[in-house]
Amino acid sequence: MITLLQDLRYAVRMLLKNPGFTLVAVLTLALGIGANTAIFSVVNTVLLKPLPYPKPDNLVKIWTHFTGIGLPNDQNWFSPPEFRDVQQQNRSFSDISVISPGTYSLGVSGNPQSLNGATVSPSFFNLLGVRPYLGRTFLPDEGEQGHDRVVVLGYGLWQRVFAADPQIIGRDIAIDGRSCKVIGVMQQGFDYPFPSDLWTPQAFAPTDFAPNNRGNHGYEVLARIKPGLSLAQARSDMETVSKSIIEQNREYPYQRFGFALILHPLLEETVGDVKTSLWVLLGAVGFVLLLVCANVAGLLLVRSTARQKEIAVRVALGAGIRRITRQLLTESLLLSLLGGFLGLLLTPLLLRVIVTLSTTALPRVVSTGIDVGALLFTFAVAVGTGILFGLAPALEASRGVQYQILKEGGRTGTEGRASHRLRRFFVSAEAALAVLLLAGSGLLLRSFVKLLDVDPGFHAAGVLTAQIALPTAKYAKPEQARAFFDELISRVQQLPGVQAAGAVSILPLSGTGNSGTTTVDSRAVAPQDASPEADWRVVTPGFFQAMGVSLISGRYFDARDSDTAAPVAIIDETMARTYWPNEDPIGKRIKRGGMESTMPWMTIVGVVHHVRYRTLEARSRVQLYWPEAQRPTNFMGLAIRTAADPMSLAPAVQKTVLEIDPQQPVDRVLTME
Amino acid sequence: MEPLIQMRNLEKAFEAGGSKFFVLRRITLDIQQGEFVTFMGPSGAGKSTLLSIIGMLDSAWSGEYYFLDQPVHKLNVKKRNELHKANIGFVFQSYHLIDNLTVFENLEIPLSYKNVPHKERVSLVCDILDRFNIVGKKDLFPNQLSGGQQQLVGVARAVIQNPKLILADEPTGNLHSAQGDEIMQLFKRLNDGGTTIIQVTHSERNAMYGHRIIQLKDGWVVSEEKAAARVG
Repeated sequence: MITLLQDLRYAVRMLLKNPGFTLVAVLTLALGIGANTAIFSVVNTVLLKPLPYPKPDNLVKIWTHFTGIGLPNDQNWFSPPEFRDVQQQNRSFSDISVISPGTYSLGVSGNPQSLNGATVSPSFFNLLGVRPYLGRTFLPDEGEQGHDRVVVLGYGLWQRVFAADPQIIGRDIAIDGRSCKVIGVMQQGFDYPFPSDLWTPQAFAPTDFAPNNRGNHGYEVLARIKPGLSLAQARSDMETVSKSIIEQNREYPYQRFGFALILHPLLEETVGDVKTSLWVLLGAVGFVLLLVCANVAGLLLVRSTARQKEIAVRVALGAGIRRITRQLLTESLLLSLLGGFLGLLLTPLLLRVIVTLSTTALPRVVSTGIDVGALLFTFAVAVGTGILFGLAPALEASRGVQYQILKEGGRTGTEGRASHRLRRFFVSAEAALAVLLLAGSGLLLRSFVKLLDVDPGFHAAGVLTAQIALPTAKYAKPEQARAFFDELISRVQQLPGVQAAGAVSILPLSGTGNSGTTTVDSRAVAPQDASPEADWRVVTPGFFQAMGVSLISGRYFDARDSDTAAPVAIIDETMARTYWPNEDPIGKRIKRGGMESTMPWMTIVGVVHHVRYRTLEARSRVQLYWPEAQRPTNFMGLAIRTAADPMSLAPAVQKTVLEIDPQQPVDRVLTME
Repeated sequence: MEPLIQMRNLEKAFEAGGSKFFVLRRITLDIQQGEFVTFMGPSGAGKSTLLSIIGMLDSAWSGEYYFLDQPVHKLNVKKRNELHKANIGFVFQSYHLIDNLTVFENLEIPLSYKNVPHKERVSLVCDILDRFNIVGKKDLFPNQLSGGQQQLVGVARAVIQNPKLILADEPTGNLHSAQGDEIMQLFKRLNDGGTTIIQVTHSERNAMYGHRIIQLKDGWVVSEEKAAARVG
């Protein structure tokens, strides 16, 4: 025991005497363990863990497929008629639900709040197999108009805003200006579709199923495959249903667009966008772990060379190999354990940073905890490396004292051949791994730099944005919404520091979109090609100027384009080039809907630069804008340009909104950058 | 009385490029207990190699070597180690104190390797510190001592186990003459006390402290002679 304490005391002294070596080795081990465990924990939670629902493999997302519509993978949401078709004609689902994520205003006295939520079919919660924490979920008849003034709250919202009031069930609260009865509170952690604070039932009106509405693709669809049926069988069933839809709706251009119904497992849907990136990241930190091991091994081998003299002296003084080994093991163990424990401390910190930074980018990440298996594995690998290569001097000593080391001047012995080869191997391996990682980083950096060079179609610098969702109950009539936004834009334009202000139905790069079939009046294209799917945007005068979207020809919308004036439109340069390639589109006509649509023709008054609404990596679809005055919407994103720091305008903008409507929340007040 | 050390036709060679290079050739000698023997010769003669073989630090040789009648050439590594630990102390030219141990701890180390109980170790170390008059240095580290003091500690470390044999390889090589004399006087006293001493040196003056000088050249023992009148 005393000898062990002596060895321990000596080990501590050795580490303290070589602070540089100790620091590098300990930090290297800690970072290797911490980074690997943190990243693997995230990967495990996001990609590998099954969804927290009963029989999660049976859960699927259904998409409509339209070729050449400019959406990623040609996938689109459902329109109400299409949803009803699938609901009625499928043979493979035990349950099916629409999901319409949205923003809701919660009228809490003196503090209106904007919340994320979803409107869902009454069967939504049963489909997922989740039970409420309090109360109940929707009944079937609550999916009918007049019976739909009910709401289910999320656990976090219930705690945050309602102080976890156990009497919340049955209470009436104002959602979008409508009084809704709270019928349930969901379990902690349930927030699908991420991130939802509340759920209301989808009550379709008869007009939602009108033929004209077949192009209104605004609903996600979730389904559960019947027990005993496979994904392949469900896909085959959807093939049959899609053929039936095409056949039954010949007036709609399903055939031309190659319409189909696509199924994806829900887990793949949830993580699909990030899967490749996460696996690549895991591979990268795996390389980092190898680098760590090679680095520590190399450091220890170099140190073993420096300690050859000491070991030789000890052997000359009578130390046996076992004794030498025990001493070296004590030192290596101490070093490795220090690194290991620091890694244990670092892991939760790194994990917290990763989770915080990626909360909006990675689904399911908020529930990530430390993966104990990964921690033990990386701990064992890193610590094991430290112990193994810390024993190298003992291995040399076991071959017999190199008396030359002891002779003359106490010069340090030369490295043994095996040790030298091993060290060279580790140095080479480290260099190779580092080059690989650097190459990968370089490529990522290059992609990022390329992205920065992409012209998004607008100028983000100096722009403040905010989202306003007017409750439909309070702003039921279009003129009410128009009046609100007209007043708001007018007041905001007068605020000190504001150079331009306007609003649009969906801000660029907000991750969502609205689109529809659009028919162009052009002789340059055949009639069957004259109804593309276009991004639809409602804008107020001032929007293009505020966002810095340049005008290519014609004019921007202005006060002339009122609700009583003739319908007008602005298109983007891509639409102009595609459908009026050899002529000026100004004065030409365009309308929403297919050829047979009864929507009014709009006269094109301007062509603007193409805006990348979805992502910076890819161009969006062709774009159609019309004035908010001529077809108001309750949901608008403000864009305010200023020469000052945009966030400095935020309080004034929020105050302006509350002056117009004290119950109206303002959401996502952010700079465009 | 049997000699302490008997060597018969001891040889050491190594292979290089297909040829055999001899470091020691047919070494045959006896060293009696209580002798003070000096190995001398030009560089590369094999003096230090012979010393390392005598000290059982080198096992790659052929021939016969008896130490206290024990056939070292037939012993395994463990037994050689035990024999060497129990009977032989080393003094090096460069002192070879362990830098991260205090004087006290450096002296304690060889006793620790002999599994001497802790209390006894402490007692022996205190005794040797007193004997060598270095009690005040016990908590210092080697880099805080002069060369002479370091070598003094080196000698103390060698004798703390009461070895039958002390092997000294150029013990005064890094010291100035006054310090060197001091060390040689110490060796003389130890030898007078019955400790057998074998030293390697280039110094004629140091050689005069011994009884016998064995000259080596190119791995051969070329002559043996009595040392001149001892320095009194």
